[in-house]
Amino acid sequence: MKVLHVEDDPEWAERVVASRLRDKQIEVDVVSSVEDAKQALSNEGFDYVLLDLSIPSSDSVSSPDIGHGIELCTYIREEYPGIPILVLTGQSTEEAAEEREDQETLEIFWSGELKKLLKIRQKRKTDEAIDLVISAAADLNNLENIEITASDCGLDNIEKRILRVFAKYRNANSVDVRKIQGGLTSSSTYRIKLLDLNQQTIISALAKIGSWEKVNQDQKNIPETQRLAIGSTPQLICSCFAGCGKYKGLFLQLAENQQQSYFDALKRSDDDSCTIVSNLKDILVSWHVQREAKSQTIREIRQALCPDEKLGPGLTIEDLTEFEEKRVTTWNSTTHGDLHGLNVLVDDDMKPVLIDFGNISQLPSCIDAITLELSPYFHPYLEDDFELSDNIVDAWLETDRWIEVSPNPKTTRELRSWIGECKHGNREYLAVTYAYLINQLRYDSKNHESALKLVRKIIEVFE
Amino acid sequence: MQKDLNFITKQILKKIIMNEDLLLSWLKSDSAYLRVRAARLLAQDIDQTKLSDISIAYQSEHVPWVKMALKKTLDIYENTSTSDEEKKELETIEPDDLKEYLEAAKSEAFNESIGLMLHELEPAIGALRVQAKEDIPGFENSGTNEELERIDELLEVFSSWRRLERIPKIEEANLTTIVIDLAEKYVEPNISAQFIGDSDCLVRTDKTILDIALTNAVRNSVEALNQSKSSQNPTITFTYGTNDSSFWVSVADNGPGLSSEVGRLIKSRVTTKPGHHGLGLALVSRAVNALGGKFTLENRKAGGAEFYLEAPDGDTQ
Repeated sequence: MKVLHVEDDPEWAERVVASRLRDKQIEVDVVSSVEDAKQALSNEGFDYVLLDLSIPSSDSVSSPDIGHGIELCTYIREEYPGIPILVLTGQSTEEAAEEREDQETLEIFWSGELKKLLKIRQKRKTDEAIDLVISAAADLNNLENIEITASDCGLDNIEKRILRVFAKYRNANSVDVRKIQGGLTSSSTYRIKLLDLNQQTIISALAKIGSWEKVNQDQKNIPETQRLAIGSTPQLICSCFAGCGKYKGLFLQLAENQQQSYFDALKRSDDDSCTIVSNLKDILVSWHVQREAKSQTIREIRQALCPDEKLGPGLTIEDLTEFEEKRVTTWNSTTHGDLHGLNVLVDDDMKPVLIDFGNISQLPSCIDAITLELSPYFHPYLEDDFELSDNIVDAWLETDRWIEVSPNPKTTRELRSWIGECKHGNREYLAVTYAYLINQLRYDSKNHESALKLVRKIIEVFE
Repeated sequence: MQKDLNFITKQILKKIIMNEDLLLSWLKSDSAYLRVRAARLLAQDIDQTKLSDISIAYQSEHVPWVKMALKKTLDIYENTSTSDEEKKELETIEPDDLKEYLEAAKSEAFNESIGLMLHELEPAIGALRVQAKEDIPGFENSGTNEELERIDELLEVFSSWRRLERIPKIEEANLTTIVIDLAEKYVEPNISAQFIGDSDCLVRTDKTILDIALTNAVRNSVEALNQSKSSQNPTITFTYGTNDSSFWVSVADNGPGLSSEVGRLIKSRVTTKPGHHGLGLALVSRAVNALGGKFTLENRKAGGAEFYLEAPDGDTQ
């Protein structure tokens, strides 16, 4: 374990605390100001912070003040929410710090128990503080005993720690990990299985691991998903982030047989993927039916999916200005916002479960079906199997022709009928398809050129 | 001498920049001395926009002499026809006022010294404890540990003292929770604790200050019971409740009771000077004062001692 000790009197910190922690193979860095502490935290990862409240803001200028300690405490909580903080105060108890401690919620700690990640000890009880750090270090070491089996996942140390904390919480002996997706954005999704000593499954779960903001967005949106039919979204188990700096893991319960995705079904059987689409329509209707008409410019729709600053190379706002100024009327409602095929898991009966709630927002309802229909051509998972050929581009905007040439005609028919039910008019369909494609042009894809062709066609056709 | 001091104080006061925001922030200062100065300076230059700030400060003030100064200022604000002569009179510092200034300044200085002392002592004692734990086999049961715990208690009293300087924060508190928490924290396993009161007794008061006052009472009882090993079934009884506008808490034990001298001396409204009746009691007195209440510490007819506290439920008015 690596500890950062922030203390106004570094000699005391070294003599009384650091030396004893080092005896227990705990690494300790001692710094004596807010400035140095922030620097140290940004340079390297720390597992734990010991914090004196009465510290100067920087070594050279100011004098020690409780205010600086509280400021640093707030900073660490915001920037590195997972780092446990032990406040070691010489001013006896400080109410500001106590209030902070009171507000802390219980989180899953390295021991698997629920604990507050902020504690206060008075300096006269330094012995208790030292014992706390030593016991935390032991808990962290014990975590390593949990075996992780992960092929081709490329898990980093923080991801492993998050998975182990979850395993510890559920008393597991090992974790089996398979990647569902990740890499493109700042978070990854894994399907995991916790196993006991006898290799029996304790629980199957979906783990979303990523930056604090990203994962929190998902967590914040969970109440929205509860408006959908029971069983169509996984139940939240818990979140884990103790000692994980800026990162966090969200764990949701999966059934053991929810092993494949819509993409897998699409590749395998037109009947299966058609069933899934039909089921999805029934699930999402709870959101889509509560809609309101909205008049907006195509730019606004595009910006909701792809903000100006994220426009792909070769696309400038000037190019798009004229077209994007046109107005369309849309049916807006709550939408999943990123309903590509890997975000739809299915069981053996093609009963879908939606995952990844980070993009849930008020958008034109047809975005979900449009995303599902176009995603095979742009997602790296299927790119090699689905080529957006000239033939397809030509037919895409005319439903009947497209059903004729589609490799999955039943699914196509079902999707187009779903889009038809969602859209306010054809202009909305064109505008939303346009916005989706512009957003995809941010990423490298072998269908890049054909996507551009389709964009041009939309602009041509739009009346 | 008195006259010189009076003159000097006046000069200093005049030199203070009449910065309005500064004065308003002084009204909320943790220092009683600054609060009283703000009250007086605000009376010299009437600005009706500050009336509500002064009024709020008056409502929440608990130090008697500061409250008095604020009352004077408020009277002047509310009676705008104050003649120049009256104003002039206010500018003169009466010998009585001067005594209060000195009292406040002394209290402030004492408070600051405590802060500095704690800042130095806490890490030193912390280091000592860490070292002793390593050096002494069976430290937990050693006399050294016991003595260190006494020092801890002393430090706790000092730090409580500091907390009493701030303006009370009135919020909802549950008397039941407060006394049960106290009993869990301080009543040792060989002593039984009894509770008599509503299970949900909600009052409005400053919980921190109430805690300080009651902690002392509980500790005294525990100590008394431990010292006289003779008591049969050593028990501490917590009784509490509310009246129309106030609440009360009684902490009674069946120990040997107070020596007659102490029993006589310790009535409510004793001086809050530290050192007079032992720091602990001065602290209780100050805490109860801050709550705007009163207390008694007396021997019970049935034997043992009883600490009784009564304080306003809600504003300390």
